[in-house]
Amino acid sequence: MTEAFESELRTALANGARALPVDGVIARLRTVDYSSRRRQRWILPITAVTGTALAAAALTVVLLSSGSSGPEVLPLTAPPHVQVTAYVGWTAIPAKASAASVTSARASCGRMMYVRITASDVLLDDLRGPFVEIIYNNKSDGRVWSCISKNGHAQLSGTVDTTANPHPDRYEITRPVYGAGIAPINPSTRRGTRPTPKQASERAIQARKMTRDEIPLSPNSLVTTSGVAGRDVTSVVLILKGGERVRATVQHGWYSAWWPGSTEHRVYAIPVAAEVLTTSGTHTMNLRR
Amino acid sequence: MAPVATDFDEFVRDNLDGLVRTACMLVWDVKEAEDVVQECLFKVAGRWGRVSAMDDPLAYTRRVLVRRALRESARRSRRRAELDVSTPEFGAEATGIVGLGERDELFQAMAELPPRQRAVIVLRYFLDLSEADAARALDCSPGTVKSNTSKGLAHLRTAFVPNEPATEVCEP
Repeated sequence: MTEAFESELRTALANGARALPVDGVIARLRTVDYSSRRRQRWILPITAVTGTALAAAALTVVLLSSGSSGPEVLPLTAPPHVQVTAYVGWTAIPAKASAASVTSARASCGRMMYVRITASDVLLDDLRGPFVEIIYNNKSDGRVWSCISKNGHAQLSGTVDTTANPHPDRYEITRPVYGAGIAPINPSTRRGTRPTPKQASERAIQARKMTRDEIPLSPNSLVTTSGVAGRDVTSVVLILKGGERVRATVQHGWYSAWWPGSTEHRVYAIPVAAEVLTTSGTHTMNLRR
Repeated sequence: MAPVATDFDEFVRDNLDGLVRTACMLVWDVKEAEDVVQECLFKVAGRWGRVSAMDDPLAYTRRVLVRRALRESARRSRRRAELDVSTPEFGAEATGIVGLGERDELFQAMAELPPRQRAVIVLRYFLDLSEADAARALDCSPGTVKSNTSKGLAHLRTAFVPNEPATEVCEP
């Protein structure tokens, strides 16, 4: 009986392995240049966190003054949730990405995801120090994706959840993006080259309340907030529980921001409010859960 | 002894198919398997000078593959626990691994095995490695391989219904 079973198992595994739908995977893996290309991702914890790695002192980041439409840059001692080593150069205020850096991001993110990302697929670009984030329409799966790259290497990618919730001016969108949190977008937006998910109200942004449990237990984790911005929205500042303020990029009806998370102090990385500047003034959206 | 390949591209060409299928069986997810194989080959490529001089570069590559696969499985379990992710990564829709033929129930049982037990089963019964070689690949003792094999087989047996042998009917 045992031998018969083991023999049957060998045959079943051999037949099953032969039947695996892996031709595409093998074809892709054959094209990789293993000698020169190192794919880097922050999906995984890269290094063990140490007490010194979380040193709260040295990093200088920038801070938006409350309620201001223009960025007033102030030196700030990094709160403990800012992981120093992994995010050197990260800024709370985004800059305008150059065409060349967006092109490089499109190429590296496309290589990572095995898709061709054209300029017209890009819905938003955001530059924070050496990090370029693009929000783009992935034609191969009809979803909106976020991808963060650095120096021509895609670091991280994940879908932007544009599923609407019952609230008229708040839609599910905020996600810790590190490969998980996959969710289909509104079925009505699955087609087309430039998706137009259900619009937030004119003065609001799509945002979702987040808990600390959604922030991965990785020293190199990060949190992104992306989605549709209302037509009148001109600026968005996310306020984190730790007191830090992070300005989002607002482009073409979309907004996006990201910031470092952490292992021990991830509660500080939770966004608790969004200050939304519109043509008619500033209002605060409560994101507390 | 496996022939020594001196050219990495040639090595990949000759062994990629087997590595991918092995990785699929180990992590039970085609997409994850692709990542595991890619990372494995990056590592081997970076050490190819030394690896190509080994008696059996494929055995070394398999060791790297198995360890990466197990690490990936553990990481994925942690991540799913942290996020309470309910996305079925092992389901037929997500992976295409379940439902591969006439032994569907066996594959379902394989999917339910803990990663290390599944790895032992794959090494012993898919790659036909000896207990000693499987132990080297898993960086554990032969006794651990034996015990994991025994547990894995016990679980798989619950799903195993032997094929009926052809019945001879004696005509009077």
